Amino acid sequence: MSGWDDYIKLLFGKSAAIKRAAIIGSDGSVWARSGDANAFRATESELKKFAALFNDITSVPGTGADLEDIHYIVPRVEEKLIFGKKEQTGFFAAKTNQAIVIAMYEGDNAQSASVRAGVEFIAQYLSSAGY
Amino acid sequence: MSGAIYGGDEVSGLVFDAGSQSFRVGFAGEEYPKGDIPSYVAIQEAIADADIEKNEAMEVDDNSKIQNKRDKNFFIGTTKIIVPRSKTTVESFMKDGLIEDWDLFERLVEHSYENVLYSNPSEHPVLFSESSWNDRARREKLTELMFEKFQVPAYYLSKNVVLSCFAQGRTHGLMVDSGASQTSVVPVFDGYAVTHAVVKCPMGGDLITEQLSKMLEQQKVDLVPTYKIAGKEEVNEGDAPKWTPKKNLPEVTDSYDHYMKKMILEDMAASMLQLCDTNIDMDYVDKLPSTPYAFPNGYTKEFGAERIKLPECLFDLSYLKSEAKREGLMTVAQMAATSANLADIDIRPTLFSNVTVTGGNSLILGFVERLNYALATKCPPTIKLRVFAAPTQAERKYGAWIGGSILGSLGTFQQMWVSKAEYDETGKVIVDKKCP
Repeated sequence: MSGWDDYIKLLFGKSAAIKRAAIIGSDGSVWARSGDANAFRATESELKKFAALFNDITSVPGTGADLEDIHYIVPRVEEKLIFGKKEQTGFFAAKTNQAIVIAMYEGDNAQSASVRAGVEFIAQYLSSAGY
Repeated sequence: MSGAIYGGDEVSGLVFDAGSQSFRVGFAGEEYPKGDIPSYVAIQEAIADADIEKNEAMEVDDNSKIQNKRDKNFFIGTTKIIVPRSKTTVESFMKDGLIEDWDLFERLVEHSYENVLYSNPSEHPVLFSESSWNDRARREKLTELMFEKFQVPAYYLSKNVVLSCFAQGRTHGLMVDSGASQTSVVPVFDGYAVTHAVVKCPMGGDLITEQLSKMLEQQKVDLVPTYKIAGKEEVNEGDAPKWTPKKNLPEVTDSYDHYMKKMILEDMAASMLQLCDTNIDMDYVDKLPSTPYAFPNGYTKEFGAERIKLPECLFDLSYLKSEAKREGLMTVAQMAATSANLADIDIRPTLFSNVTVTGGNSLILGFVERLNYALATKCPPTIKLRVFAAPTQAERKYGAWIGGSILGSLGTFQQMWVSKAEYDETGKVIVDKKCP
């Protein structure tokens, strides 16, 4: 569905710190991803593993998460949210009914708040639409 | 500060750090808190005086006034709490490091604004500290209280260990916070507290004073609080004290008496107790010079081995005087090791090389060295272990407040405040979104 790409554009608009983004299904399949200069680089197998993390969310901080071949420390998880960090970069991933919205960002803690708000906004909208 | 340029200096935020021992308040950007108010409030049941009530009621022609006379009187601040009054209990608003009594807390905040900071709540952004195990309901309640009742223009809530970390000039660290009611170990990574790796134990300054009190009972030393003493004579060390009791004292409650005795015990603990650098060694203990302590009633006693054995319970549970309490407790070193092991394996080396000790109870002589020794045996041999601690007493007690002062005055922080407009738009849940 080409419509998913529009959500990626919307996500980028939420925060200037977002560099790459994707929306994937709970099975790890890619529904949309940012392309060209901002290509979301995670592989299919990585995404499958990542999606599975949401099944046992409280154990994630103990092990961290891998995306785009980089290992991120996970200082924080919430009911449907994983927040990963590595030095000045990080990601937010929010789970909807059938999908996961992921945004990779570069910036400091102040900017991460706006990234989180953006990801949660998109996730909430998708959830309310049934996805 | 000149009014021409807008910057972090102009904002003059307030920093509130609530603890079990005291409530620290002050202005962001300053070195130390303006107010160090005890977390205990003296509450007096108003003494009903029928004549006054009747006269007042007639004056105002309002019978409802009679009910108001039954309201309690609240006394806040050290100079007011220690005055002996009848029907006055001394209570704390905190329990287990969390705010429990919101009414008392509200009064403390009001008192801070009016009598300590002389500030109007609606004019200053306010930064609050919270325990790392604070729950969502309390966070939201605090947010609601500050915005609705005090009408603050902006607000932020930060974990106290993260602030203590900032106060040390670092953004990573395994924070060991030994305070009055709790000792907790929280890993902080990149300014975030790793909340699922928090390990805490109700061992702290209060436990030490309790142990001290038991020891004095065993040694049959009569602990007379200062409010009972009218005068005393000098006696030789070890001789029975000669003191005259105050006359016409009001009948005080147990909680007041307990609080006054606690003050003496705390003074004793601060001046006398020491910890062994390494595991306790009987030879060292016997050779330790004894220190005299002069009690308020004139009695002086020398204490030797007890000085070391008492705080040992923090590092070796077998020294705890009460059998029943040992369940579920851990030593400080065990807590630190457990907490670090709960964290992501990649950050463990960073945590171990940045172990930071903070909190008033950590001022016991030898605490830091002992922790270093005990941890060295628990952490993996390949990892570099370094334990840091602020050198001065004030920096340990006010660590979280100082971190808040630093954070609140940073230029880059000014965009992170939760503003009243944002609160009005989103509601109290905004605290979960904006204040991790």
